Amino acid sequence: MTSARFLVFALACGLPSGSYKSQRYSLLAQITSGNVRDLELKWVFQSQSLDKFEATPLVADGVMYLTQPPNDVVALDARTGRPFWIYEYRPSPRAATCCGRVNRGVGLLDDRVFLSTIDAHLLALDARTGRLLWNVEVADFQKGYSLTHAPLVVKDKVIVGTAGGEFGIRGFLVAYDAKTGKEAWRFYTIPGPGEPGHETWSGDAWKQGGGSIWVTGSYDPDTNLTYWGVGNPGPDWNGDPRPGDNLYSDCVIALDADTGKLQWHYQFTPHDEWDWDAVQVPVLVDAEWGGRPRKLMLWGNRNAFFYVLDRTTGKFLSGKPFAKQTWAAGFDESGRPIKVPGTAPSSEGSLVFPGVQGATNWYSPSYSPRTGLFYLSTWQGYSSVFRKFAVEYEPGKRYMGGAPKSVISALRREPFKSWGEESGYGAVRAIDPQTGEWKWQFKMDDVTDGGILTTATDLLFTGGREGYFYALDARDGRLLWKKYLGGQVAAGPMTYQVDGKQHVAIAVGHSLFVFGLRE
Amino acid sequence: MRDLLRVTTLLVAAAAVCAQQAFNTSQDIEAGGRLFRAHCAACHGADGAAVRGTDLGRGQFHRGSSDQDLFRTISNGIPGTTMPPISLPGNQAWQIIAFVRSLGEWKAPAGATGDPRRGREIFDGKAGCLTCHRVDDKGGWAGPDLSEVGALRSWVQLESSVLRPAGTVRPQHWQVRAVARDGRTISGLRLNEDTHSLQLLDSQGRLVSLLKNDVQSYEIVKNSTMPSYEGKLTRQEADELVSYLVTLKGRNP
Repeated sequence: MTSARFLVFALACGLPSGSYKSQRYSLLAQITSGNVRDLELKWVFQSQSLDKFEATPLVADGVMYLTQPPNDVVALDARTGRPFWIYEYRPSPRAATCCGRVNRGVGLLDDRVFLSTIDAHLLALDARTGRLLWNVEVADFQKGYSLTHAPLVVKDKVIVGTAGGEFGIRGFLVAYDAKTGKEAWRFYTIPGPGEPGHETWSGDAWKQGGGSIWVTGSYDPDTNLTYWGVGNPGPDWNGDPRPGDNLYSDCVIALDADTGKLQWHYQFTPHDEWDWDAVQVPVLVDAEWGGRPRKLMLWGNRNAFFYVLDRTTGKFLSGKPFAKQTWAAGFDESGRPIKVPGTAPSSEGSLVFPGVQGATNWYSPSYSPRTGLFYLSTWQGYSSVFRKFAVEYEPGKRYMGGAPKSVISALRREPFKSWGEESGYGAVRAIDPQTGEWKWQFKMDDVTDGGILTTATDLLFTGGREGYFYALDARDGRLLWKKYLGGQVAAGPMTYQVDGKQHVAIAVGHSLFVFGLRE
Repeated sequence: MRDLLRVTTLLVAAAAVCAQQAFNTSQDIEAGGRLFRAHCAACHGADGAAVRGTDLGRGQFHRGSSDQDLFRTISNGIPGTTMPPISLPGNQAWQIIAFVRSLGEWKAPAGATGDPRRGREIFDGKAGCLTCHRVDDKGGWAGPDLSEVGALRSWVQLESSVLRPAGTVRPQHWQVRAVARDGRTISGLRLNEDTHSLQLLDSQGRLVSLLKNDVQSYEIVKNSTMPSYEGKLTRQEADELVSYLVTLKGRNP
């Protein structure tokens, strides 16, 4: 963060979630509820790959930096879409990912672009030419490690975490010097012998305990803490090989950004047997709580609860369900969930709400300081039957102790609807953090993997599996504009200004669409 | 069905021959070099001589030496050996072959010796190369970035570029000179162009996109602005300069 240029764009669109607070809230205000109907297509970037397109682009100085799945970086003219350069990276064809050869975007610092790859490398490129500056092996992909999220740049470091929670990894978060690629610190999400938290594991289970990281974290310059959501413990769906709470799986962890030392953690789902990764973007909000200003963290979790935490201390302030759930009866005084007996996976199968994909997932939520509402994409009334079976760990192979079954398919499906609302539906819900109650919802027939963007003009942009891209009124959920784009939205929208004109970008299907106002 | 197969085979063969004839330009050799390093160099070595009994740069092959033979070997592999079949899109196999044919030029010619450290002093100092060229994070933006030039160009090519810069340069090194509506001049390396727009890396190292309709005028400069160093450097100095350039291979490829 050595140049003013970076600071300027950090406020607008140079960070994966819009800002270090990860609110996905933009101050750009040209597009309003009054003119949003005049949005028209400005240009399209067509991916050369048929892999799932989950990236949110970044824009700095009129240049858009985007990943083309799996691991190419393209620098485009943000005004016309014409490419300046393309960096092609060919990950090993043997790289293992659970759910597609995906990448969710790049990191940016000064004149450097950072790319994480599915074969677990981190690369720095020259933002002007696309030339490779350094390339480090973060982990051994042959042991099931991969990298899929946009790296987070904090000061002079670039931070990235390892995916592979379905492959028996021992996850970690690692920071590199942005200039040299030299490792600065490393934090294992599964503590080893002698480290605090190790007592929540039994025997050698920690060695393949999972704890993946696959969405970008947040950073608070005031506390100098960087916050990250941690994925499921391994094996999935069968906790027998790993008695205990299995820290720091399904936690939010708060680390000192300079040293990587753990300051606090909160575990959303202790001893998780449903695969409810806490891979949601930590949303940082400064607001009144209990009559005084407080530094809060808002979190809509895959386990169907909406949480408010104190982000200085990690103290649990509230937890309320935002979707149908049957696994928890509430919380004890410390904020630990009270599990409902009989909801753990069983050999004959246990019906649990929410289902395996959760009541939300990695889809970026948004918070608008104007409305004071937290917005998330949810799967409502959705369940799975969780069955478990025995599993042996084999390096690099899938390490999953069960097979959940749902009517609604987990990742993607053909464009025909084959179920009724009783099996679940998708929705954007607007939650009032003060009460944990939702104020409005925008219902979709199909479920949604779309991220959310809000703006200073009270617009909310999102999409869903059906292929629509929407602009809603952030105050009441009213539909203001829609466009059918013919593919699944599995990415977050973003907005940027170039030549004094506001644009909105969204990846849909295998293309990135960019809209602006008709002239 | 058999006729169809035969026709298809002929078409493929014809396409192969055409492709072979068309894909040996200097750009193809450069692209082929990249592909060679990605797919072949792990076993064959950067100079093509690492596998016992073969020396690709000197025409020593295990199986067949015509371009068609090499195409078949790349596409099908050699059963019973560690040479796997490699499936490459488009003309990439031909580009690799073009690169292999150029391998012989990559070594320093007999008698040419140079000290790369001394060459770097000449590059940074007397020859003034950094005024226009860039190596890693030093230098100007007017000429091509040379950080990886040792991996892209042979000794013979580099020596020729220093002593006898071509009158015209490759399309990827063409320059743009444009005059904006307000009279400002914008110049830089042409990265991309279409009917309506131009993308360039300007002389300040910024990515710039211009709409052709939005500028007063523009021209594409195809001639080299690189001065010849013939007579400006001694024979020994030129060798030293080139011996430094061939060490520039980028970082961690």
